[in-house]
Amino acid sequence: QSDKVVTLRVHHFLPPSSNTQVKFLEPWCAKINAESGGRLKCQIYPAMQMGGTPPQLFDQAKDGVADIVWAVPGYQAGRFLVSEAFELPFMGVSGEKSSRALWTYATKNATAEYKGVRPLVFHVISGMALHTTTKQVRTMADLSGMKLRAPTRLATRMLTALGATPVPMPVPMVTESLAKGVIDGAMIPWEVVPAMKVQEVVKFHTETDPSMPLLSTTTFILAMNPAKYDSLPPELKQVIDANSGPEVSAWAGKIWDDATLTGRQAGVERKNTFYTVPAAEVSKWQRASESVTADWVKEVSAKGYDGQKLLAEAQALLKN
Amino acid sequence: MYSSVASLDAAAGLRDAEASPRGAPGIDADAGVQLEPGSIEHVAHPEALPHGPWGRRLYAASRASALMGGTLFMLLVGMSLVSIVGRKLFALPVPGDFEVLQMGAAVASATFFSYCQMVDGHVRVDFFTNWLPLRVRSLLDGIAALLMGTVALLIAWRTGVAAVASYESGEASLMLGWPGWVSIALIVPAFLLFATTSLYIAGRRFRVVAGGVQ
Amino acid sequence: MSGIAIGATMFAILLVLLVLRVHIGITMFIVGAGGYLTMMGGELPPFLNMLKNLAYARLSNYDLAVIPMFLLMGQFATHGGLSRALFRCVSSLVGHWRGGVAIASTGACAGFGAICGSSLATAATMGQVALPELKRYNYSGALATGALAAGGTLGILIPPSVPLVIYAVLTQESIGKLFMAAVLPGLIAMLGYMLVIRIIVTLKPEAGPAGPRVPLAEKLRSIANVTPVALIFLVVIVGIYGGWANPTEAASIGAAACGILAVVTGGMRGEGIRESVLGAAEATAMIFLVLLGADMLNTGLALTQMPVELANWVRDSGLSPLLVLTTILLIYVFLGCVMDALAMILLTIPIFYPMVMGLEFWGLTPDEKSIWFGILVLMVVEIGLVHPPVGMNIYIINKAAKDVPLTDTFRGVMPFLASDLMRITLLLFFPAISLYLVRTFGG
Ligand code: NA
Ligand code: NA
Repeated sequence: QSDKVVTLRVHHFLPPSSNTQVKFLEPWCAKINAESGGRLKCQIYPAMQMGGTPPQLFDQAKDGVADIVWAVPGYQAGRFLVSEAFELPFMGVSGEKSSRALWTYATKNATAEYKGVRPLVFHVISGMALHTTTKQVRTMADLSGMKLRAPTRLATRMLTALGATPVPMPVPMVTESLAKGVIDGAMIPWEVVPAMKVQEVVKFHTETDPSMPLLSTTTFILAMNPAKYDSLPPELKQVIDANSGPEVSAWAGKIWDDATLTGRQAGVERKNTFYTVPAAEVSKWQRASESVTADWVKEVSAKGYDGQKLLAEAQALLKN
Repeated sequence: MYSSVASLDAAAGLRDAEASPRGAPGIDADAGVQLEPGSIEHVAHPEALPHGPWGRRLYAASRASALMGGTLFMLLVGMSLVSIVGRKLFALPVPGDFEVLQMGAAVASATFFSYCQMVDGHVRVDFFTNWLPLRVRSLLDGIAALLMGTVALLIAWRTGVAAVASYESGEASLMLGWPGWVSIALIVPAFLLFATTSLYIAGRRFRVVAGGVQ
Repeated sequence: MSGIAIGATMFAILLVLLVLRVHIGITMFIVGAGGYLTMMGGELPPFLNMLKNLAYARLSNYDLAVIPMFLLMGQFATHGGLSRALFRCVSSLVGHWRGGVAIASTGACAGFGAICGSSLATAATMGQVALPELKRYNYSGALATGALAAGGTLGILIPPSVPLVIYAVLTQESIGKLFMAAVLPGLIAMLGYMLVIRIIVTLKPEAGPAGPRVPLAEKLRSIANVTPVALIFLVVIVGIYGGWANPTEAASIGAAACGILAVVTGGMRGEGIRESVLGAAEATAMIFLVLLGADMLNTGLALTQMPVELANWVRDSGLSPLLVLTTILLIYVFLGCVMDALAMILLTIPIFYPMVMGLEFWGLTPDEKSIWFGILVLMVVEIGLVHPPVGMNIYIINKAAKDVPLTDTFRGVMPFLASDLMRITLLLFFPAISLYLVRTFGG
């Protein structure tokens, strides 16, 4: 009984060749497999093979449809308001630091939102940049009237605040929409640029001064079905515990920090034009986006939280 | 009554186009095997009229349901037009048109299932069984309709549970912030009606089996 | 039991249920649910929880909304008499050739196919319009019904095409690219059918006598009458491919335009609109029920890992890719003897698609391979509509013709089937035909 092999069904929405599977889930699975002496095994189901849509992944872990999911809480707008703090404009620092801070923040403040699952890893995807076809974005004035794909609910609001016209759309549609001129540009992390061949359809990449906070991030969770966890013998629980938490979250964030460099290289090789918005200009963008943060504080407070306190706490954690 | 049931038996019998509720164009009865999407002609097996009081009511309800869904679809078509024109000419798209279409299309499509069932439009293979006696075919068709009703009920029940879960989680649409549970809840009645029509059809088939009409 | 064994068992049960007259969508659902429960060790809660989102996730799929819209578009075109205008137009141009009325029927089918996503609707509509004319000019029953049964398939061969939408949704391929890729093969199909008619009337002049010559003024008038149809097609296809509308929006434009045209020029009124809506509703429900079943089946199959294992096995087997692909295409032809196009695609793509994508063909990129395979699949499932024993187009046209023996119609479609096979071979060996427009216009 005790040395029975337990197979964990891991479900996510990206292709099997994605960084998520190759650089994150597979190494993580290999690690728990090794540390459990082969008694924990993953069966990874990419591309929503177990059914459903990406927004439903979180509930699949909750309901035991899958044992472990990699999910974007933000796909269910309005459900994970507290942890959304890390998606506010100019909140993030590096993926590594932000992810560690997010773990601490979410496991302390967002327990109600994540009730029903056992969080293993929280992480953000860093390296968000603007990739445009028609003109280089240098100043806020350049953004005016540009149709830009927005990655999250809050990024949608931020682009509006900056004067652009946000167009929410799923990542797979971005490349074609750029090629056809449906949108003038996209705010996407560098990591997905080569995977979607975005560098081939855009001419300009705009990044923000690295000394400044990140333009925007998207938060992710690796969550486990609690009943599945409880069914494990203590020594296997220990293996799972050893592979979850703030440091593992930081490790996950680092994966995407590294992937940013690879993704950026694709734009360099394509000889696209790069521009880094200087700190002074970024500060202007930051001020223009303050209304987004203020609205978020109101929204969270309306749900009975102390929005201002949550914001301060997230900011403090990110400073560490 | 029985004679009309028998004469319009679902799969391979005669189908009297005149007596069909929609006056569907008559096509070869034995051709009910290969039904291809989008055909106006694959209304190959209309249920007989008179349906009896319950049958008529169910038919009217399912037809009304499909017409409502169709109207909703035409409204969505209109919204898409406004959105394209607005986006192209005035750089003003309808905000959240994408998500409104998703919600509306889900609700509208769900209303079509029961109507399709009442005109026996759901596709199946009867090529291998057309030689069987009517009572045997009716028995198989009755079981098939029961299975369909069971699946429809199962989906209605689970979707209802999903609507409650969505309500409790407070999830909302990305652009407009519309609550997500409403459109999920709205497809439940459509599946309940679908289950009801399936059970009704099953009853009709089993009556043929019991009555032994040839 | 291994995954493959469970998967194979699922397919065996599926065939039994299908033969026992259970509806295709329900059969797929039941078998998928059975496979799912087996793989989950018989535990009910994961199954029930998975089911919560099955229906809504499928029905709220943005891309799938094009299906009711394309169906509504075809219904409006039918109820608004656009088919008649199309036939008159082509007939005024080529009707005076030998075999010209049959050639005109094929051309009109192609024209109708350009605004209708379905093959049966095209066959039925054009049959009503063209058969009386063919009879009036003493065309042989075999040629008349054969040409129309084959011509009806242009409804799905020429975009918009419901089976291509389904393929696109299943494989995450772009609907716009698939439609674009289908244009040249669709035109080749039309020309092939016209050529077959020419050959038949050259060998047997009495099979297809020439019709009367039409004065130029009338030719021009009849062309003017179909200009809106051509415009609608262009708006829809160019709109989707040019990128200023997504497929759903383009389909909305098409449906609205056909609706307005039917009301203004075709005299469609309340009753016609209701009939159109009900027709589209029924066909939509039929398609979506099969889709719901396919979702359940594919989820169950994915858990067994059968599709992946099979694809790996084929990839590592060292079999020649062309042999594998030819076998797959032949399987479709045989399945076409008992199943309809949609069910075939839904049932087989999850198995065959990974297999094909794992193989090398002519140095195609993955995206090109996926588009090219989609067109090939479309071409072979289309064959099922016109070959015995259950080719639905044959029955529809034969029934509409009233006085032509069924054997004549079967005989009549044979030359057209031959042209289908030649075209598929051509497309198999020259992927560039399918990919030319996609490559030329970027993507
Ligand atoms: Na078509
Ligand atoms: Na066939």
